[in-house]
Amino acid sequence: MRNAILVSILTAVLVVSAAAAFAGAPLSGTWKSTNGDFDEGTATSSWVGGNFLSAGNILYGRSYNGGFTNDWTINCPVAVAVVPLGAPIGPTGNFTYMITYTGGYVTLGGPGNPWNGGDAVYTGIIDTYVEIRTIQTASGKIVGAVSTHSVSAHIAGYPESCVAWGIGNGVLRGGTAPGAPLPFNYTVLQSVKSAGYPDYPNGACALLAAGVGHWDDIRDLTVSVQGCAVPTQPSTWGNVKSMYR
Amino acid sequence: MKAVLVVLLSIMVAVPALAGAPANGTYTSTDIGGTMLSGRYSESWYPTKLTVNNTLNEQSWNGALGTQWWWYCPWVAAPPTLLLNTVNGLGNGIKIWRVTYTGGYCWLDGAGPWAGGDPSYLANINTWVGIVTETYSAFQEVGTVRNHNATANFVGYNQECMSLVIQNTEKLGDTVKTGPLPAGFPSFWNWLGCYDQGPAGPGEWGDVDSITFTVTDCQSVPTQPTTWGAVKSLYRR
Repeated sequence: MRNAILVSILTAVLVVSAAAAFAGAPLSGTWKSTNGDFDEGTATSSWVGGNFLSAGNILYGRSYNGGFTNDWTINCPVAVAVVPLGAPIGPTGNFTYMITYTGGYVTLGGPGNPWNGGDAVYTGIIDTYVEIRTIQTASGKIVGAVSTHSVSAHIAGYPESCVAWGIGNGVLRGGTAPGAPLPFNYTVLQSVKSAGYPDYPNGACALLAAGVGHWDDIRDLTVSVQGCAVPTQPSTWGNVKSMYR
Repeated sequence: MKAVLVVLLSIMVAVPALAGAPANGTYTSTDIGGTMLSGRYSESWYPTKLTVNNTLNEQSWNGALGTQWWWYCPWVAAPPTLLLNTVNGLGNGIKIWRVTYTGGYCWLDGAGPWAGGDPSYLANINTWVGIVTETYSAFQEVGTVRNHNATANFVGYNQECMSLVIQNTEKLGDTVKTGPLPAGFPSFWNWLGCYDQGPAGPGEWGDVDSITFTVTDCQSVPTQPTTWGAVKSLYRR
């Protein structure tokens, strides 16, 4: 009798533990912001490294739909390499750089989002983050920039196979003065960051109202999640009991 | 009689060149606060995505195609360069390519924000580069975004008169996975001879936005006030 009670208690504990770890895993699939599956957003980069094209800069992004939403965030990857793919920036032309980031994490909101599996929020530790940025200059000033962003992450608290990855486009909307390596053309770009863009992230990933940096719109997002659901294992009461004999 | 002929010829030659170069400046698309239209694109495949000779066709869109601008017929000049590949053994991850194009033309409506007096402007594309970012799930491409950048020189104006453009695109479909080219998207172009081959693929299509377009160093040759006597004097020597 004592053994039967013990087995019952252990079984209950195992079931509860399993539910806590796996019941809320994000769903597998691929979703697009342009389909209305989730919100697009904005991002702000702090020029911790010194200027628009410096290693050391810190990026923070968040979904936005007339106000900030909780669909996703990008939390503070740090640029570690800024490599020109061709000629370095000059007074007039188009110039492309490959910017590699390290560290940081992403979040995917739970309820209301297509990947929702029950958790309030999913946290993904960033494995790779690369931005390819093409800058247009004219008469010695930066008049615009477009980027592709790509990120991959593994979801904390779930099996190693539980991963999320995504791509999106960015477009420069403004930056602080004095811009460097070239100044910004403020007849085209914004000189003052509006409330629709996040505050400036610092090294501790706190957001500060004051800072130097630039801000972008983030669009055309595709997010995929795979490997998070743990398949159920059909069993019998006899099998469970046999584990404790 | 000779003098009349000279004057007529002078007018015929001078007017098209002098009427008005496109206005120097930087123009942005409406989605980022400007007045330039966003657009749509197609790319014909020879025979698949990311292969040599694939040909782009981009047109402004306001319910109708190509009323304000049109970049057409740059084609892929060399095999694309793979810049990044994180696709794992399960077929999940991201690839980034750099694609270099050659050839092609730019047409601008003369009434666009760059208006300078001509009914329209034509430019020869000098450079066109695409950064193509693909995302894969189980070895299937499930999303593609691009940045394009290009330069072009205007026809009929000073040698330095050129344009630069950067833009974003997002792929919305292709003839292999989605079906035929939908209405409202630019038709597919053939690089060989640069002609419109209609809606038959294979190829892909999508949106074009976040455009920054710069016209620089264009000069309309200033008119020189003169007298009839001065004109005649040119031919009295």
